[in-house]
Amino acid sequence: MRLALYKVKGESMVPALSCGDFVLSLARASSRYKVGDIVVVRHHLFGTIVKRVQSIDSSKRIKLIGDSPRSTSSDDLGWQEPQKIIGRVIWRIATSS
Amino acid sequence: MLYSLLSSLDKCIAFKSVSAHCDIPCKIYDPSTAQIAALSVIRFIDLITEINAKNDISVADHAQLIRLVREKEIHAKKVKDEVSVIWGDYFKQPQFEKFPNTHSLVHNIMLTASACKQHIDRRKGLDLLVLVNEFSASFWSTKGIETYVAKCPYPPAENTVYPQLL
Repeated sequence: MRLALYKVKGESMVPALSCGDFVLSLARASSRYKVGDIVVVRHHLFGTIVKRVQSIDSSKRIKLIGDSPRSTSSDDLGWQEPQKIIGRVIWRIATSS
Repeated sequence: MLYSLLSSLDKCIAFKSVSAHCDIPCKIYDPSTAQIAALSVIRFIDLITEINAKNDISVADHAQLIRLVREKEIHAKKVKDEVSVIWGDYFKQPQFEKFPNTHSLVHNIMLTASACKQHIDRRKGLDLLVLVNEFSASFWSTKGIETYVAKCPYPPAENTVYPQLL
């Protein structure tokens, strides 16, 4: 499904996303993701996660990072294959909205 | 208003959740405790062997033997515990990519530590130390820290991997 709606759990993306927010993600071609995007990723250890793209290598693998200093570290999250990316967050419906 | 609507819908149809995963790892990992435990296993085997070499074994020797066997068991188990924590909590995808043999190495450590509990064969203790040293070298390498090998400055004076921290 290209569009998907998720509810955010956890605080690692504060202040961009807060626990309880809803986010709409849109699947894109792997070449269209860029550094700074907030993406939903199927992670082999942590399940379906939402993080920010920190870097992209020549194979289009992405490295993720949380906005909060309390986030699991980028090294612990590891490099993610492009096919693990579910989509880019295109809309946030915040708890405070 | 939209959020309230989605929240109401969420209660009925339960949207999938996406984890903004957060944790506070202590990040204090050091294989030296496993290495010291492996060296201790060898030392206990040596002391057990000394009692075994005696012609007459006193009650005091029996008491000492019981203590040594017990400590050998405890330290072999400690090797397993310390290594499994580093393997399970510290090693993740980047570390496994750098050392793809880590799973089999850790499994060998588990098996060899169990063999050290079952036997008083010094060679099995040395095998355990070699494996734990290899694990230690991998661990420090994932942190970009060079290692060197030196005999530990106490019995059983066997080769041990140390991090080059200066």
